[in-house]
Amino acid sequence: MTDFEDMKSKWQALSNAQPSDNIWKGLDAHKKSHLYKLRRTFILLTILSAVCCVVVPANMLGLGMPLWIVIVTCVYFGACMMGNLKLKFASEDVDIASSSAADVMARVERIMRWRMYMKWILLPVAIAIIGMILYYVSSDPGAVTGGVTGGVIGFAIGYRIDQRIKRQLRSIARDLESA
Amino acid sequence: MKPDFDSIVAEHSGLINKVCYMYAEDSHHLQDLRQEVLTNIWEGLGSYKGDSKLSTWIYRVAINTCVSYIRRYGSRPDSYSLDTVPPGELGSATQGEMTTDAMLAEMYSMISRLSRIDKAVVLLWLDQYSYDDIASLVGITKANVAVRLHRAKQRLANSEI
Repeated sequence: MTDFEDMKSKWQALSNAQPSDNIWKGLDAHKKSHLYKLRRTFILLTILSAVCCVVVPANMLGLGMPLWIVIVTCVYFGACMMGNLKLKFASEDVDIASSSAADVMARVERIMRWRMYMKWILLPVAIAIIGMILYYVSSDPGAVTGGVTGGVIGFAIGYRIDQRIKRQLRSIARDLESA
Repeated sequence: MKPDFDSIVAEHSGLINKVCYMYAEDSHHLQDLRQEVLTNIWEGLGSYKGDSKLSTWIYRVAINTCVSYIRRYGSRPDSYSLDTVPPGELGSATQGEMTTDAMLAEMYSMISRLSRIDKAVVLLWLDQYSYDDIASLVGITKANVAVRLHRAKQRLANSEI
């Protein structure tokens, strides 16, 4: 097919025919959309961070851990809470049903990028805090090693997923630059 | 009165299928996109006020869903590339099914190489939407629509086998 105009004239006839019914089997309209699930995740993480901001440092003080670690932990959970709250509000601004494609793309790209930056800044801090807690409460070096190793492996798996997401975000950003 | 969801999907399944197929990389991705579009139509139906044609509204939801879908995982072992989709999946015409399937697959293959926004522009243009409507749906200027179409035509012409 060499002619673009020829393609257009054939397009209607070719593409508006109904697909076979079996394509629609197994699709469930009552599932929640990806955006809805994302919003729900941000709300849950905000609440969890707020609770941990108080509960975890209180327990650490009770265990007699150094004050500076307690403060770092409190600040960490506070940052998690504020970050997830910001993402929750940002995701509520995405309106698939009435916005333009470029607007939706830009908002989703921003949310996913913030989320990635948050993970990459806060995750290493979390691993360090967990390592310190394990050091202070555990008399078993094996438990400390296991905990930190598990954290590092989880970090590596998340890194692979995020690299894929990052490639898509770069392609979206390039597309939006010329919009 | 809120439109009936089942009848809407039945009437516009060709349109939804077309948009999803344009953006899908493989069969699993296609199924994910269809599911996501269907869910977004379901969730957004309450906000449809009838200020545009229903088909235009569904086009908007389908395109917005596809352009903003971020895939966390790559192709799965049991997925197949859409270059080899069996006949009937694309909604082929009743006459000469293999020939029309092949033509449609070729069109999709060429257009699928474009960027997300360019795909949306070309898709809407192929479906006879005006430059004004395309600009409004995609969120770019009318001049940008013309430039993108011109560039897409050149790229598609140069990519001929």
